[in-house]
Amino acid sequence: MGYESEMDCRTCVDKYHESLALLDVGHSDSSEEAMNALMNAVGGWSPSVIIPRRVVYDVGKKMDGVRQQYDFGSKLPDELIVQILSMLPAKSLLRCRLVCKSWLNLINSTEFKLMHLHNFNQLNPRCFVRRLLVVAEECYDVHLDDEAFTFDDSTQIELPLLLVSTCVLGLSDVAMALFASLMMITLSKACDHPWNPSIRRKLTIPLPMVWYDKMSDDYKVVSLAYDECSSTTRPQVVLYYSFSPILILKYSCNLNHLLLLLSQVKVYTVKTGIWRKVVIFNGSVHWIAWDPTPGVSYHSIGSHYSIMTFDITTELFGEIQLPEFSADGLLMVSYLENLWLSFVLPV
Amino acid sequence: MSKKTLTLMSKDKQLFNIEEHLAVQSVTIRNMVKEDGASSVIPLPRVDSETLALVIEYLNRQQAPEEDEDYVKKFVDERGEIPTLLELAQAALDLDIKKLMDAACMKVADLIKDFTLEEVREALRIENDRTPEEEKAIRDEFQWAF
Repeated sequence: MGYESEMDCRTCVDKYHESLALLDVGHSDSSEEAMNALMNAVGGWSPSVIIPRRVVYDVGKKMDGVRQQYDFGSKLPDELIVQILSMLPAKSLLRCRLVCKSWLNLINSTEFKLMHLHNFNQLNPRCFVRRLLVVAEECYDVHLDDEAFTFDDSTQIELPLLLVSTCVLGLSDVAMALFASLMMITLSKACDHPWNPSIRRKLTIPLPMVWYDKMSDDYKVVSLAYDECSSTTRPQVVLYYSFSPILILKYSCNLNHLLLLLSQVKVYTVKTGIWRKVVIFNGSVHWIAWDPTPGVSYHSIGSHYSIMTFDITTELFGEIQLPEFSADGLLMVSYLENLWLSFVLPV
Repeated sequence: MSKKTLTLMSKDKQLFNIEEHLAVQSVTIRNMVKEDGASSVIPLPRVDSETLALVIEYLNRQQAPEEDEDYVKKFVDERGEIPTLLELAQAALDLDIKKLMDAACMKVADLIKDFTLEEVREALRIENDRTPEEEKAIRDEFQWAF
């Protein structure tokens, strides 16, 4: 792969990258070993490695519906067919759509996509690796999550656009287009490009805001209100919700306002006194918002933070007040090229 | 404590004995035993004797839990013929032996992943219900995968 000489990878060890970890590709208990193996394999540069986490879906329940729904015209029980197909790589599945009509319907169904995502990725855990080259170019690879950290050449990661300002914002663990194993959202000046390398397909969606709604198996485009006159100005936000406990925040240069989408919002429950690391629950997206006050930087103590909520179904915004942060409870903020931030609240 | 033995009967009326504590790895059999004690013969009308012999061999394995995963993999690997694997998967499905079924399905998936369409249809006994025109439209959508 010729990594060695050309790479001078800046280490982007930050929560931002962890927040990208939603590659969902099964889990890895051995993140450290995997990292070491990778380092050995490529000789010394410091990649940011995205270690996948296990995402469990209630597949069984969903698939009951699928089983009843399809007639595969085979002598074999449907359950077997579904099971076998859910273990095939995306490329094989693309071909299998042609086998017969019911297979196409099955493979295109949301239930099957979720099942495939779960089964295939659990059998073939992979890691998404992001590298920054000397020439300030970014590179993306997929490696198998094995001892040798084998390069996975069946999943080609080629940036779908040749845009200077392209940058990968997030990874989703859900098939937006077809079968998901890996989803990226790239951003250019005018458009978002949800992109699924497994099937080499990208979509182009104009800004401002888009997300994928599991219930309707569709994208939702939302824009947050920006009230210039109000004293409690909310930033104009582009919210990338990529269907997993991951939200990324964008800093809007023009408006000089922060817009925070949070990688791992933890939600404080007063009753139990417990912080929960949930971003999407009760059907709402949760993220941290910050009120920009002149002269107060966004990470200083006096800043006002709250958790904003957005109910996906009713499309209503809400706000949850956060408790005061103590001096040692500073938010951790990490920068990425002055544009991308992510936040982790103290435990 | 004496070990209780169950008798399983295949599609072609052959009888197989297996100790009860081993047989109850099958959820189906476990439920039957719970319900009526399963004193008599348990008929398995969809499983032929060759396949049942394999299932019995699998159930009789004496494996430490940590070696079990590897054993199941090896077990299906050694029976790498698709028809055998499908029979085995079907029997495991009927008997509700999840590990065996998953392993058999995984092996089949692995074998067919590079198959052509015709080969897939033949292996999984599917009939083509498409016209060449319909086929072309679907094919063109992701030409690179073919």
